[in-house]
Amino acid sequence: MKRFIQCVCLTLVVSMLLAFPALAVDNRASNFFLSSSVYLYKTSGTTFEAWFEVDALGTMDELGASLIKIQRSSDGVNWTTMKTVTKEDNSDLICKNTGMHAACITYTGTVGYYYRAYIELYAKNSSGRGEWYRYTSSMKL
Amino acid sequence: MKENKEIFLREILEQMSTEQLDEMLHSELRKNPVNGSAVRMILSVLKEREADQPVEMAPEVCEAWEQYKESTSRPVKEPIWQGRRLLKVASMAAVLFVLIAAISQTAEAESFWGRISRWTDSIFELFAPGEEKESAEYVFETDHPGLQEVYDTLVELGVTEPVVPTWLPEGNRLTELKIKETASKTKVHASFGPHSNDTVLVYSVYDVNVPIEYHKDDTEVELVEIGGSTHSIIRNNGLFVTIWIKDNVECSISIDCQEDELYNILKSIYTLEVN
Repeated sequence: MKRFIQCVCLTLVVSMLLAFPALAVDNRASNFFLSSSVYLYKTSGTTFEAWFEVDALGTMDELGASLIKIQRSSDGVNWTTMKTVTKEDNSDLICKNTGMHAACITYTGTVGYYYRAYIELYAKNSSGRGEWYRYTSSMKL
Repeated sequence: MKENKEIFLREILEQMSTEQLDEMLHSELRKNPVNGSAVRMILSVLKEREADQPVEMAPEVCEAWEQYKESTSRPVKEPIWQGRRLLKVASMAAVLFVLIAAISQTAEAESFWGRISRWTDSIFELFAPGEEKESAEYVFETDHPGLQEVYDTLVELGVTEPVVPTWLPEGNRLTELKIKETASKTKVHASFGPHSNDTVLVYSVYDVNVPIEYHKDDTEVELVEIGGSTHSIIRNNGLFVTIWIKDNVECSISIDCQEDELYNILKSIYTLEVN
């Protein structure tokens, strides 16, 4: 019983220490974005699509992704960029005068490697511009 | 339609690692009630994989699977709790609870916990989008032309459950109604304005549940039960954002309004009396 009480006390102390950083709560409020979603979708064999979907808080002059990077890794830890696409390269990444946009780019990878995408979401209206950076979950081919 | 969905879900499972499948199986087996179709599909993928390359299930998964088989093959007996055993289990539960509570309070751990939570949610949504659930006939009635248009659009997509409000505060005219099909869902986005921040209704009709991230400030998430659905209410720079799931549809409303107006909007979805 004594050991049990010691264990509970120790746990409480550790818990309080862990809870301390809660004072620094993450604030991701945005004047431009309502929600977003990014993911990889395997279409066939070693080919996949890197998707982004973004909803804005109102009609934006421009909405979409300003940059997408396809990254590859052999161990799931160290990543190398294999392909970079900007909104200047691919006009489908941006939609004008809208509150919602979704699009993808296609990539063919190599079996045995992990892949992920880094996506910069972008919104612009008369009050300025907003950006939001996301990584997709990784996928092994 | 259901068959296509199963094929699609199976493809997703086949892309997952054996460890992830084990984890998912473990998670499914611990649910009450156990989702039999999900368990069968995961086991079938694992079995196929085992045939190609024999693999061992994690011990805890084996144990959970044995428990599940036992529970479905013979009547469940009430466990006999003896003082010492009860104390041991209670203390373990208390320690676990305190640890989880502490972890979920931290900023880093909050996102860690969020991922776990989302992961669990996505598995749940992946396999149990309102299975075999019967509902009473629902009649949508509104004098708001924009909301009627949103409802009609969703009906065309096969969504007939109550998810669209029948009432919005004055001054909300439909300014954009956009439908977009993606790899994981069909999205319906409706903006009502004109405001500096429009009122936005978003409906994501899932084929596969991919988590959606909502922007929020550091205020607490409020959970409100209306019409049999739990609505999560967050705030984003003064706006209310309400999120809830109805079968395979994730719904959200973002609006700049008073709190009582928000509740009236939510009540109107379920044809409850608007105050």
